[in-house]
Amino acid sequence: MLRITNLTKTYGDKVAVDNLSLHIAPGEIFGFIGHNGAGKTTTLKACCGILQFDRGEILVDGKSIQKDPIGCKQVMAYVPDNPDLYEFLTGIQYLNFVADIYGVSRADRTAQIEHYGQLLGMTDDLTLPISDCSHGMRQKVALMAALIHKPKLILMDEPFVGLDPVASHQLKQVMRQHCAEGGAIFFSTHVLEVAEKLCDKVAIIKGGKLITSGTMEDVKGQTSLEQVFLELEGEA
Amino acid sequence: MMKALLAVRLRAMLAGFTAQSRQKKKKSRGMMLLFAFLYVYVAVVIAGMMCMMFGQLAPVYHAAGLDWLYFSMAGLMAMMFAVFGSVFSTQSQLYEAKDNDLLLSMPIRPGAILFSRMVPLLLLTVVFAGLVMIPASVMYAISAALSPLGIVLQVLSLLAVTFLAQAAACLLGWGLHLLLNKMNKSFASLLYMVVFLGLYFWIYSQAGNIMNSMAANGASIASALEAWAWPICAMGRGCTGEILYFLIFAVICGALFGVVYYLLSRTFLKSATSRRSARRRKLNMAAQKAGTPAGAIVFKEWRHFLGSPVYLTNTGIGILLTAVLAVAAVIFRRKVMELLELYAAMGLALDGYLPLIICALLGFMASMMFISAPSVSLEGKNLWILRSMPVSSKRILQAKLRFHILLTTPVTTVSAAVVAVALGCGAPETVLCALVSGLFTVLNGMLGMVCGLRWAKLDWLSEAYPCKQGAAAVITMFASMGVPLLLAGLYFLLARFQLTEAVFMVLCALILAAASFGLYRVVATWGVRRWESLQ
Repeated sequence: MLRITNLTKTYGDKVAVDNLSLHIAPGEIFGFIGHNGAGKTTTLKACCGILQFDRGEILVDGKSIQKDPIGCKQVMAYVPDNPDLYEFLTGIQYLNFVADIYGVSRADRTAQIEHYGQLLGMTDDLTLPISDCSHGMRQKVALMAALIHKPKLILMDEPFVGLDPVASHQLKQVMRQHCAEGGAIFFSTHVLEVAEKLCDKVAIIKGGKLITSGTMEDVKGQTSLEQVFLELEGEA
Repeated sequence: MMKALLAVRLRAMLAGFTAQSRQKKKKSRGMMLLFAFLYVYVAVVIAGMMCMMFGQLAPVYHAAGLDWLYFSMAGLMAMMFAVFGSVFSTQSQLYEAKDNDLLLSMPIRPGAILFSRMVPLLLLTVVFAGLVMIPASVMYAISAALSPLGIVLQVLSLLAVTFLAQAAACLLGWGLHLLLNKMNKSFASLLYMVVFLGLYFWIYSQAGNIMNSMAANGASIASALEAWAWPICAMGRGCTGEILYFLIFAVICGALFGVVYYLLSRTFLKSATSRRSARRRKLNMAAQKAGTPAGAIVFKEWRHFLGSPVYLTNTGIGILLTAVLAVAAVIFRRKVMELLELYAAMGLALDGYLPLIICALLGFMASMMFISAPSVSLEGKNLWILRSMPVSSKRILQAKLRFHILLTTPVTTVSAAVVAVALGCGAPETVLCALVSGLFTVLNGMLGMVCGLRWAKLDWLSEAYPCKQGAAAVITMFASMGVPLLLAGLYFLLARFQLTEAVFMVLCALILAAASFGLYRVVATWGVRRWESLQ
């Protein structure tokens, strides 16, 4: 579903992502872990076509993000770490805007909005202007917008930040359901307990370089993910 | 602490003039010079207008021995000029700055944050007030002798007026903020525009009468001021060298500024953190409709335009002015016709040039419609949304252009046709007026988009920056004003070919269409690459 090969991105002299290669298969929840400034957001942004990169290749569902960005974006969705949405729109106007861009039919968008609106407890809050929404509510609107066109691949940057425990639980359910239906999720997180319980595979990045990746069992072995992470970071 | 706060504010203000993008790349020397030239040009035009006005009043008031009244009038005008144009900026800078929450979370007194925001505003206000008071002093010095003490007191009075004007602007800005929290922002903006324009047109239409009345009724105005606005009277007397009056005026200004500062600092925390609470409604899923991607982007631009008072009032004022012009042409048709006949009797027959004058007028109006110029910068932190979606950069830019054209071209075309018909132009001239005027708006849209991409700045703290002070907005407005002037120059250059007005207008239409197409190609090629490189 997502294949990253030798990805390198620099900002001036600083190498943000250094020769990174990963593969996320359909049906997988792939966790991406690293300290602040390790290169997680840069990688995610490069994958969804927001950021141009220097070297390497990113294939989404077999298509190159550089050669066919529209084709790639059509089958994926991105949820940023900070849900900066259009504050001059209401939640429902924003969802309709996203649905129009993705060409979602009226029937499909209605079903999706009703389903996720109920699941996340947002139905009537969608009539509020986004400027009046709390961080958590904006995060939920961003999630609903990401799911409205039924993407094959979802890229999420710290998706659990700002969500209440109920919404966090529901998000995990949504993620599992999405992957059970053949979709894939690539997300970054600092919440190692969540990653440990939720992810099929995990990758740890440090200073832009991949330190380790593989199935959760392969990476953590007999210890915890937190222990492995701290050891690899050289702090344990 | 205050030093640090002021340093941050002044650095942000300076960065607005010197930096041009998120990468904090410095503007080139050429750009800085161009900007300096544009600001000096605006200052010279305004100061020139003030000189013309005060040039009429100074000798009359000096001869009548009402020198103090002359300076009182100048001070009053300076205050109105400074307050009138800065209420929205003040409201936006004081209460909608994006770092308000961050600063309020720090161990800093709200009053200190407020003060640090008021100081840069004071610097702008002194410039506004100076544009009125310095020409007034110069024109007075031409008519009457100025003592060194008088000069010193006039400079100090300028500073005192600045504090008074700033106090008034802050108070009105606070009122506006409370109003915007209670009302729909779009409605409040439209209301402000209508009231602002109503006052503007009233003063403009009455300017001649006001001037005559001020010149003829100096004594009665003086007694009224002494009775009802003694501080203004004290200011005038101070400017003529009476030091005691100046001191009283300065104390009054300082005290009023202090009272306003105290009042606003007591309410700043509540005002800066209060938000208009919207009502939750029942979501009606049956009302949702599907649309096209381009339509969705145009709708998004429309909501942004309506939802942002700064965007609406600064870039859309020309739309309202153009519509008002058409209505005025119909209402005052007879008066305009009489004026044209009067000119003809004086040997200045304008009838033949009328279509050209209409086009030039609407061209100038169109320069005040630079909606496309800030639209790229206004994406700001939301840029990721469009960039992550399956819609090509070209389509996004096309949709932004379409929005500009949809909003400006129909109203300009119809207004041009209405004005032309009202003033008795023939059918071919009317059609050409509508065509040329419409093409002005198309060209402005393209030019605004090119400038918006070239000077995109996404890390603004207030929407006032991209809409008012940003290079894209300023350059687009001035360059657009230059287009009718260039075409007028071309008309005189081609005079020896004795082209008819209709033929020249066809030529103008061709030039404008070709320029628009050329700029569109720039948007579609370089513009797309530029859009994709924005971060």
